[in-house]
Amino acid sequence: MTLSLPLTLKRSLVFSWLLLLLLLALVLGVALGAVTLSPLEVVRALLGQEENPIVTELRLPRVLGGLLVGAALGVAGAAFQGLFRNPLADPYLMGSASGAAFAVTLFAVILGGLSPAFAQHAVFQHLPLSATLFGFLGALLATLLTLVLAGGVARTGELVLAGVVVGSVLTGATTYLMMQDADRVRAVFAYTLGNLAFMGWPSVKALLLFLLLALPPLLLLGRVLNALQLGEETAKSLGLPLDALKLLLLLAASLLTASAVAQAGIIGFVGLVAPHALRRLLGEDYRLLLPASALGGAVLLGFADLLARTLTRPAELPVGVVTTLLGGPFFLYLMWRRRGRA
Amino acid sequence: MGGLEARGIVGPHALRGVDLALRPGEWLALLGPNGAGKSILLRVMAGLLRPRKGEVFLEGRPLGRYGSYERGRLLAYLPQGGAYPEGLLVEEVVRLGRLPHLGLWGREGKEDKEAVEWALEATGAAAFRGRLLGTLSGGERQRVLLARALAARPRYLLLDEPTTFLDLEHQAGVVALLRRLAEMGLGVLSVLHDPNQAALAHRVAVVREGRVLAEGGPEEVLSEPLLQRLYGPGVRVFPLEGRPHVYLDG
Repeated sequence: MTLSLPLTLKRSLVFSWLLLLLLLALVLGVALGAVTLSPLEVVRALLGQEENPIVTELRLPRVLGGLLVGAALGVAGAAFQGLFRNPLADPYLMGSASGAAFAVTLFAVILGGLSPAFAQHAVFQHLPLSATLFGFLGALLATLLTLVLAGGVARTGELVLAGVVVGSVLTGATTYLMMQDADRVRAVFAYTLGNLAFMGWPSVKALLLFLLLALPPLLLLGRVLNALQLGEETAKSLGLPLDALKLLLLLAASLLTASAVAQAGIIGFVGLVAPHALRRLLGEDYRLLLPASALGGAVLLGFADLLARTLTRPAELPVGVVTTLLGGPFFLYLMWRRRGRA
Repeated sequence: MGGLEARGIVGPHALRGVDLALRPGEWLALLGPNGAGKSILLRVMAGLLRPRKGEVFLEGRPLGRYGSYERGRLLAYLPQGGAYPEGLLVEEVVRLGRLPHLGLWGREGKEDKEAVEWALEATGAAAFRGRLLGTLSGGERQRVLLARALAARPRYLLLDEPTTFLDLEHQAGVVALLRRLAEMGLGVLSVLHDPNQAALAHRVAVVREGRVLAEGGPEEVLSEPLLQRLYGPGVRVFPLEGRPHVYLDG
């Protein structure tokens, strides 16, 4: 790992690029679709100079929602990796996302049976707040279960294995719940695969609320994550109230995961890829890595969604399929590199 | 009353009744075979593990009655080898040592910056302050981690095998630094594997099966009969320039 350019310059460059790409993802995301708009039309609609319901009612909430989901997953991934000092920890691989999805589905079932309303995601449109809270509990319980099964956080292989097992079992349970109403399976199936198509303004508001709740404590704890990288005993010897801080980090990361899953289903690998790519550019200082991972996650999911919408036009792929297709090989690459080093 | 003192420590694990006192201004080396309980004792004295019986006193007050930040300002602990963040800058690693003074969200002041500079200079880590930890050699890295421990400006420094994995040159550097720190008034307690390094400390305590078997100046503790009891009959000791030298008789 090298940082050859002067460090501050390199770091500001990375952040500038991220902001630029974020803006690009926003404009392109709003411009592309069944009716393609010119970038100029998009910018004018965004600035409120021209009324365009396609932009304000349909595309903007979807694109904004997608960026927020990406940001939540990116930060949650970075936080999980720092907290567990494990480079392969992420909301998807830890089983946390599956836990949230299971709990959200259960919530929907309890609420109205698998009614047509659910198939149209009315539950998520009208009750995104309570769905997130339910998902939060699911994410938390799944993460704890993974930790118990793995016997702690130290062994990378065991942790991922336990996470995959917990994730698979919970995904199976989710599928079972959904299969209770086979007619609706198609629409619901699209949700579990990770889909931004159901985003509306209520989803955006819910995401914003939970990001505002969970992001500040995480960003303020960057130094704690830095200290944790020196080992738990060292962090403790520095006087940090480690048990409380670790719990806070776990709660915040789980809440972010749940808020993403409740609105968009399971979108894998964003939380793994974004922090990893940025770690190579920025180093491992979590004071930088956490905000950068928020931006990076947003950019990644923004562009993945562009692919999802354009690859099979006029049909649309669930964005989770795109991130998994891109993220899976990346994960294998990481495993291969680690083995090469060991 | 100055010093860091363990009284009647029983448990956890191997410890079976340990009394040990570290005074300010001295370097005390803990020596003993594997599994004797040296590292556990060090962690108990650092306040990281609670003994089942007995108590550790820091300057006359039970260690448990100190707040965690207050304890961190007085006692610095450096674990053995293990994990280190490859992607952190040397300077940030050393600055983490100021956390006991700053708490979670304190802003660094003049005093903090001076302490970090001092620690970087004292360990010779200033030369690579702008590099990532992962790009350093083992010896350089150990100096950075030592600087991190020193940055708190502690009164007592507790180190677990600070010379392991270092080549001879860097071992000598660490040993000289520990002596110098003690001469500056710090109490230094280090677990060591090599009796010849322990011979350079002011005092040596030999730990075996959870007890302190012998304690005193190196010339008195590092005797051939005692070392043979610890490590077997192949160990020989001969004095040179007033210091015991230990070697293996093939």
